Amino acid sequence: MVASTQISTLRFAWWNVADFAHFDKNRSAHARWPSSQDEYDDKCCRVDRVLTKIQSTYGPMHLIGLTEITRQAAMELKDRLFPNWDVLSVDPGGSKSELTLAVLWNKEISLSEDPPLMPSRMPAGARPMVVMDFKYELEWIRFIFCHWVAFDGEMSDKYRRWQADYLSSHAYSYLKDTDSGFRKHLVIAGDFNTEPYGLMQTYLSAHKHRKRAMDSHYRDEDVERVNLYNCAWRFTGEKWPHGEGLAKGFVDGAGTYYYREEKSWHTFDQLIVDSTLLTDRKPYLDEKNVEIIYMDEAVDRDGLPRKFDSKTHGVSDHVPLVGCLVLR
Amino acid sequence: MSRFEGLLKKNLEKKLAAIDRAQSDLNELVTDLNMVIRDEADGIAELKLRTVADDVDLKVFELLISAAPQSGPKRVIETFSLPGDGYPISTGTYSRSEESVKPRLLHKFFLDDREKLEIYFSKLLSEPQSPVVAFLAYLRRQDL
Repeated sequence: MVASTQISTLRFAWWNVADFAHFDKNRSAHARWPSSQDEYDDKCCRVDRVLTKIQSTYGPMHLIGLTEITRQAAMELKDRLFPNWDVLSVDPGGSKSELTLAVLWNKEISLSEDPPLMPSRMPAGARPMVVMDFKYELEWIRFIFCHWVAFDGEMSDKYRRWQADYLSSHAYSYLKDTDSGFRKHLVIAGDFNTEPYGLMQTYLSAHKHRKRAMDSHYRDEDVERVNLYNCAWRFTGEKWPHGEGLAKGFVDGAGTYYYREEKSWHTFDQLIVDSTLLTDRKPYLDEKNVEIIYMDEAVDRDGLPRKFDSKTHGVSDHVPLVGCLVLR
Repeated sequence: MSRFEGLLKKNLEKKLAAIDRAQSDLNELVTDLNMVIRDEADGIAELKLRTVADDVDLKVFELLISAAPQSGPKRVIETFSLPGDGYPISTGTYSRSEESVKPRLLHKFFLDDREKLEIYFSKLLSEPQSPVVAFLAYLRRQDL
């Protein structure tokens, strides 16, 4: 279906909301589920504050990808903040409900779901990559939202390599198939549980410089590879120079995920695009509006992300990132 | 008459029989899976083996899933590479240039025999993180 949207820019956000399960008394003893309705309500308030602040700061969002959220929590979030939006959750729901991906979008843009991407032989708990298509005029923008296997020793690296390779193979077949008559574009956002370097470059061909994504190599066709640009390279260090961060009230901001036990920042949440979104022909990525959100509402009192806990101000150990596409 | 007469023929026949046996195991198990999808999931999807390479000493098949009847988007579930000896079957992703079929990623794992192949296929149905289950869940969502 081709949408009749007239919006000129499409703003989107990605966020790992960390253990955002609805309250279920049968699972209230589970560490990752709320122990009471009050605790769930408290988490809802904190998530709502962040998403509301993002919209008031960066402008109305059209599309939000979330992970570690149950279907019911996603539906209730939509009802509270975005009553006229659509929501898609890959959580089976009911007694099998799990913390997985959900996508919420404004009906101003008409999105349709394509089958998820899931390599075989993944470990228990692996999440499918969610594929959402936005078509307007003769443009076809495919959004793929990912939450890859969590870091757990060297074995988990093997699974992420398979996920990267599978996604790379899909990116190639999607972008190279021109039969549809549409100009195709690709946006990949997610929590990859790995840094932008290493396997993201080797197996997904997601590079740190735009030109590498624009230039093809004679071997690319031979190995069926498309080169992509990973915006997250720009987020691997401190966001603010010393002095400026202090003035803004933030001491530290050097990634998207803060691992408190190790006192370490990681840039696990990344935004990757194909070369068609890197020219001055619309649609294109408005990269100056790609940002990691360090705002008071998204961090604890010490200025660092913290998982939700009713005794602290934490909402998630990840901070959101936002992006923007110029459509027309 | 050559002192080597019959050796090559015998060897080739043995190889072809081995690879044919592995291929027939694959076909049989795909048919079995389709029967289960028909009986337990209203036959909403169909699995199919697509030949990627067909040489004497290497056959490569992609296992595809699509909505039934075959239309709409497809997903590759797995790529099986059968060597001349039939087993072990290896899996991984492949790229296809005009000249050859090459592994994109080193083989993930090996299926040593029919029994291992059966275990692999049973997991495609029984594990929640299986790509077959993810595809069926997608088709169900389209019906909502």
